[in-house]
Amino acid sequence: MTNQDARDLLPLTPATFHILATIAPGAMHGYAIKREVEDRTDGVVRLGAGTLYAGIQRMEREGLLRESPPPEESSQEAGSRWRFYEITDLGRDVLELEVARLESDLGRVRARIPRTHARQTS
Amino acid sequence: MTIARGSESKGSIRFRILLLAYPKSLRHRWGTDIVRFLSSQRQEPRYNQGAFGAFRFYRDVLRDILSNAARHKALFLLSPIGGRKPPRKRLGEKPDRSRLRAGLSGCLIQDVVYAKRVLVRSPLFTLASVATLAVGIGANVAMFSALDAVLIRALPYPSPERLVYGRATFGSRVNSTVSYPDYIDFRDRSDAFESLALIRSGLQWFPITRLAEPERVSGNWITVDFFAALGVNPQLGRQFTADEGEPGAPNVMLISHGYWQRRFGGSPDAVGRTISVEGYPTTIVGVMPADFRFRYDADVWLPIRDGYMDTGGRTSHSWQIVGRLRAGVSLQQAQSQVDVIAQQLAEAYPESHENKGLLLTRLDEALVEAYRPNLILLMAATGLVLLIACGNVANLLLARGSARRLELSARAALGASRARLTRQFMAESLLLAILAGGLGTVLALWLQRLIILFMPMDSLGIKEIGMSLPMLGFALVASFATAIVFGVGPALTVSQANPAAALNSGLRSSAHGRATRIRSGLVVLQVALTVVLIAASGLLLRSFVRLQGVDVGFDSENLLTARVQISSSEYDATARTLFYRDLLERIRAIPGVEAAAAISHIPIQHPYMDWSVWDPEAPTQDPDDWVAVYSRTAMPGYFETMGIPLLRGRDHEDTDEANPQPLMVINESAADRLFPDQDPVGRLVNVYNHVSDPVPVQVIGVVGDARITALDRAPAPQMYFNHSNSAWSSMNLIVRATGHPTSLAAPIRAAVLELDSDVPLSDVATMSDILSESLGRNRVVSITIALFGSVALLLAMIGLYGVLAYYVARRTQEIGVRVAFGATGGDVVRSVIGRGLLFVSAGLAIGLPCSVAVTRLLRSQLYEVAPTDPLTYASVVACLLLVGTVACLVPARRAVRIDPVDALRAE
Repeated sequence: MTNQDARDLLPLTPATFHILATIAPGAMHGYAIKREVEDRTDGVVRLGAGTLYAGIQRMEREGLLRESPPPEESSQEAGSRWRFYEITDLGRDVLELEVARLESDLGRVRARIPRTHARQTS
Repeated sequence: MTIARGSESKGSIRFRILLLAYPKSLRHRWGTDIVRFLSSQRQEPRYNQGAFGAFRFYRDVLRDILSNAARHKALFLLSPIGGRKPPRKRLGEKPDRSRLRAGLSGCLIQDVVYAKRVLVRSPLFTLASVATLAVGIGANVAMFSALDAVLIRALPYPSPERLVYGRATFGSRVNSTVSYPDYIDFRDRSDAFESLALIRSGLQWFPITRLAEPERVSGNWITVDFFAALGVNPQLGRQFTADEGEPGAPNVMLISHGYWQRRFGGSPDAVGRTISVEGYPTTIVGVMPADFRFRYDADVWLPIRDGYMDTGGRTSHSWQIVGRLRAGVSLQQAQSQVDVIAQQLAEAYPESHENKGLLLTRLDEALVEAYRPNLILLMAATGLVLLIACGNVANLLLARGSARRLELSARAALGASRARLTRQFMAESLLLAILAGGLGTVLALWLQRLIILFMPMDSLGIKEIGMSLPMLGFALVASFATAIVFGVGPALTVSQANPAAALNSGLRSSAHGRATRIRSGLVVLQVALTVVLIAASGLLLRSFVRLQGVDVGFDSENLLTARVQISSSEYDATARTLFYRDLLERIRAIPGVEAAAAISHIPIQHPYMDWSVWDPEAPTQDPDDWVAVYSRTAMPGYFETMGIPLLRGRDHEDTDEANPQPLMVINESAADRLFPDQDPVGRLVNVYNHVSDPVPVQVIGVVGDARITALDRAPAPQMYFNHSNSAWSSMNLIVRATGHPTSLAAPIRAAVLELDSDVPLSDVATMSDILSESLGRNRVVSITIALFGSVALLLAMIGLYGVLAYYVARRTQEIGVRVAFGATGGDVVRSVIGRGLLFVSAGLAIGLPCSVAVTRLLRSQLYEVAPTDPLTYASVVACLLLVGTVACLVPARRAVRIDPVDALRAE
């Protein structure tokens, strides 16, 4: 997987971006991903079941993620057979490239429009 | 993250059903996950607020499903056509068709969503199709509701199959009524009936007094067992008892629910109250149920008693027989018994009862007999209209199919199977049909009212049909059937793998040629039908305009009319004349009154009947030479009030009372018939009312002709008697106002009550309203037919367009070749328009003779307009040629735009 392949996949759709960002630190199952994205974006990005799983289907096809065996802690739970997804190397590359692209875009926008400078939070 | 076990099973059925809405590929792999996802989502705090929370949940899920579905479609549609890059595959991997196909198979919701977008993209087509189908479906739904109400629904009485209706027959002629003495004989001499009852034919009017305000109510005379025969019990109180039908019994009555509400406010102590009917104290013994109605809108029912009223002789047929068969007795058995009795009567009364019998039919059949053939015919006609509408839309779909060639090729190239494409097209057809069905049902509600106006089915109690469940069900079924009828053909045709080639070459097969001929035939038929409708509407409209301008013979402006009925028992003849004279004096004193008069029958509203009149000095006394003259009774001053000119002699005067010789004023037509070219004033004529002996009456004056029977009939011969000679207890006031007539109603009523507080004033109406209302039927008929005509014209235009568009699409290559060989744009346009006008001419050739035949049936509705009026027919031909040309314009333009190079390459 060269960077050439990864760049072909940019720009990412919001769903793809957020899903990748969520599973980058570690594998997660579908509903957990949704909750995490919702929390992280303060409820702005709400992934429905269709959007989420269609996104996962597409990303799997593109090689950005794959199904993974469930982590140790939750395997003891009876009846919880959620599928877990982990990020691939390609996925990691793509995510990093996307973040860099977004930062670069943001920087250029801020340079042109002063009012969009990062707000200082105390 | 842990999920409690319980939440998984609770309500998971619901979510499994929701799962079905998701694309198959997702369901296949992540079905369980999605169900659990939804289940967990459902329990989030924002969805946990009762009903509102639930609504939010389903809304968000639906939004997710739809946005996903659209994206699914958009992705594979847009990818090869530029913009988005195709989904990336791993190196070395073959493009997986099966994966793509799995993604394409999707779900029904996807199809519908996509169909919606397709339809929105071409608004004109969608509008035309939906409008066309809506009219067809609407007409059918309306007709079905009428059919359902009249023919399908059973009578609302217990065991309605045992109810029979009796009619007198004279040889082969069937009369709908019987005479009272005959009824008595049939009742007494047969044992086939559990009960045989009688109701007076037609509605009667009874003055009611001793209440807060005197009034006139409608009612029926019935035998005491009438309601028992039907099987209907009063909701309050009781039925009549057998001895209440005997002479000398106390006066009793039953009232309707409506009257009970209006007059007594629905109070239970109405039962037992005594009110005065026609001057006789009558006790209310019961109230009939709210929805009860038998043939007439009656407020009260009174029992028939011998001697109490004039039941008529054996030859007076004013009654209707309703009976209930005894259990176990068939209609045929009852009929045989009745035939025997009829034979006995024929032997007993040979002059009047020879060949006379009684025909028994089932009550439900008898009531609808008059309407059944018409309804069935109309249902067939509306079915035909719907078929034509379907043909129209099918044509439009086919024409559009060729325009969507590019899109179809793209989809086929992506692996969309023919089944898939067909399914997609059926979804479009279904969506169109359902939209049309909804619009059509709304239209049907309006059409129902028109049906009732055409076929007043008031004898069955159908005034407002309204929406009903069977009707909605029928509308749904009709919509689906319609979608299949017009959708399947084009869907199969257009979903061909290579539509371009298919349209141009493979479809020269005989099967397709036949289909095209059928479609062309349908369009020609449609044009023919339009011709008939437009011709009929043209004639009716011309007739209506003529009628509006007819000269009635009197001044109808600012005239108020009202009916006054005084008690015939309280006032003798002289007293009646005094009453009306006094009343007119008081009315003339009211400010705003220019003139006042009283007449027994208002022109147009009360035609009444004619008597026989002849000149005693005439050479022959042959009854065939008698002149039929309409008789009226008037107080002096009538002609002046009405604005009818006095041509000779004088009007009646109050002093004529003293004259023992009866006097009359006749109109011009009567004078011309009786005394042509002579002065009728002073002459005597014999007047014979067919009840008592002829009376010689002297003519004192001649007035101008006025129309009194109907606006479209010539003024009939009329004679006017003085009230003092013919003292009617019920008269109509005619008051001319200086200003607005209706403002006089209150002071006139007050004047009446001053003279006698028990006398009701009713039927207050202005003369202009009466005249306008008499044209009401004509107006509705004209407007409706004109409407249908316009709609038919529009549909014909759309049909022509469809057929021509398809014709151009099919002949693209041929036209291209012609242009390449030097044909000009003008040639191409001419050929298209020529073909279009060919259809129109064929339609005219069929339609014009048909309309001549059909409009002949309208003769009775037409006023001074011949059914073959040349001006109307010329306009019809011109109109259709114009419409045909307009319909050709778009296809012609498209034909001109055909680039010969493209057309030839398309092969």
